Amino acid sequence: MSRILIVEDEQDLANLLTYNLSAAGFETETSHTGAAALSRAKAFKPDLVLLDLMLPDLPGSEVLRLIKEDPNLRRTAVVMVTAKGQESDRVQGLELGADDYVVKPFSVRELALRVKAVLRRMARDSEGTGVLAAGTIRLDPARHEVTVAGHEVALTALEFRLLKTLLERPGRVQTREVLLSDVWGIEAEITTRTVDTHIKRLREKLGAAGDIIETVRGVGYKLASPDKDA
Amino acid sequence: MNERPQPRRILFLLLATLLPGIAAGLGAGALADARAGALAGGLASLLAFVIALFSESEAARALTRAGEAADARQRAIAEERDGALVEVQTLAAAIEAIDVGLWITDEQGVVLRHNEALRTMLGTDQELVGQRPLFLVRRTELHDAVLRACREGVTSKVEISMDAPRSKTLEIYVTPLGGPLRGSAAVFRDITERKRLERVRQDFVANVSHELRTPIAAILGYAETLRSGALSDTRHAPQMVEIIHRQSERLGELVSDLLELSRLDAGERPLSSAAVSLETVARQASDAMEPRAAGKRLSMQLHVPADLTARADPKALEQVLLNLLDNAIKYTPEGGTVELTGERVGDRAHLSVRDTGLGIEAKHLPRLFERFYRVDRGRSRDMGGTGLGLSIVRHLVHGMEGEVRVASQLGVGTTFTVVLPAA
Repeated sequence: MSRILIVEDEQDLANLLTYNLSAAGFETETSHTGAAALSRAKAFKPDLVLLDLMLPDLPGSEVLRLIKEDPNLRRTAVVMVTAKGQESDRVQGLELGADDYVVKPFSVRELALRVKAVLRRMARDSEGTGVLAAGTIRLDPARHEVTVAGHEVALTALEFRLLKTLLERPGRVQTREVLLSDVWGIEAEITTRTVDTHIKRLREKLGAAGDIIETVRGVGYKLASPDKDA
Repeated sequence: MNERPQPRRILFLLLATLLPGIAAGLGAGALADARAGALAGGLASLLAFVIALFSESEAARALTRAGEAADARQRAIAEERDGALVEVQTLAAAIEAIDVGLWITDEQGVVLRHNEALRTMLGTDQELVGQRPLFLVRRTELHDAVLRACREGVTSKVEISMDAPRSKTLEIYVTPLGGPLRGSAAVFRDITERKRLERVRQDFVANVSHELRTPIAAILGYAETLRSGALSDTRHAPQMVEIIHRQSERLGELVSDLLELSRLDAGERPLSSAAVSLETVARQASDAMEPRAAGKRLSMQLHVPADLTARADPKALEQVLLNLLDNAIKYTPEGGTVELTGERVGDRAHLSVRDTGLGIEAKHLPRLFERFYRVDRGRSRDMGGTGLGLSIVRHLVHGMEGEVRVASQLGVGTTFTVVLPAA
């Protein structure tokens, strides 16, 4: 049973989410402040955090950043709950590594579907035909592990999925729109800088080996073909 | 002109000489007597004089006309020069009088002249004439815009934010001078205040939308949950209906508070200013809130002297007191006291609402009357507050030329004091 941490300061809304997500078969817990959410997440180890961006104590984006930076929580997905007219928050959230968002007021059924979709994508990360490799990079879906020249690199769930997607399609240009759709599972109705920020972070984490991810100016990204390396 | 007699003048002189003789001959032939002869001679002389006079004046007039034309030309030039001078002076005065900064550059982009407003806007004492834009405002956008205006004749608008000497935002129109004039002009507008108001408005809209969205999300969410099966969940369904009802009420209150504020902002609610018995208004408000206080087992006390009067709008003042009493009752634990007192202090009348509630931390006090400012968001919502009550209070009190003060001590209580002009 997947665990979901609901971070919502409005008691009525927190109860609403708890009722519906429990009915959908999830185990839930609730935090009413950002600080409480961060400490609760460490103990509860949720698979997914449903994070309202308007919290009384901390900006939601800060909570998101702290979750994504915590090595113990890097495989935790985050779905933001934002308000219409806060596109900039949403964009910032996605750039900070949020997996998806819902807009308030939301349909509880749509919210449950989105939560399930994010968890499904995460589960798929562990599937695969076996170890994927390019240059000195090795990605093991089953163990959810990435190594560069034998040394493990800690990637967030999104970075992992982004790298896996590129490794599965070597030598083929992936447009930002395709990556947003396949990695994030969202339609590109908002800026695609999200992809760029994640590619940048992924390259940084991979070090020199990251050069294998090439920028195709004005189009997107591609993984250099193995034969080119040879 | 004397050296070069004109043909017309010669003709006139000739006539003048000959005519007396002709007239004398005519006169002698027609009139035989000496009187008639003398008369004819006199007439001829007169005629000769008139003709001579006429011929002289014609010449003089021609002379004068020429002189007058020259004078007129000179006068016109002088008038034109004076007019131009006045126009230049008027324009210079206008340029100095306007509160927008202005500079004119040559075709290289070097500042040729400017007004004082520009110097104030740039916050500098240095000489501006002879400088390049980049030296005066260290922003390449402006520099580029000036060069584009000078070289390509392109008009552009640049917005720059400056941190020093104080933070401000300038909007600058850069345009070529046009016509035969080379160079460019730039008009600087200080839009710092406009930007600030824009931010205030955006914050307000964001707050309003958040405040409206929360009850709507709860109402929609619970209704949807009930519709998709929870209706038969006999344990939870009644609670859900209760929440829908409560959140609908909250939405209603929020909308009426917002409308009230908007009416006050737009000045659509003119407040009267008459001598009002504060005791009467205070009693009405206190009577209205008594049941709520009793429900919470609070002691409600009224100490307003019967002769205390102030200049106020009775309806608005009652609304102010109801708001303050409502807050006091909300935040005072059971068994506490809410007291409404009045006194005259100099030419002012004070009305105070004192409670023995939780108290407010000092850091919150300066922002307490801001829209949607909440000391404790969760607590305020649990109490059913819209976050606009105190903001409406301040608005109304200001409208009555009064002020509202707050003093508080954590764990001891809070006192709101409305100060009005005494009547």
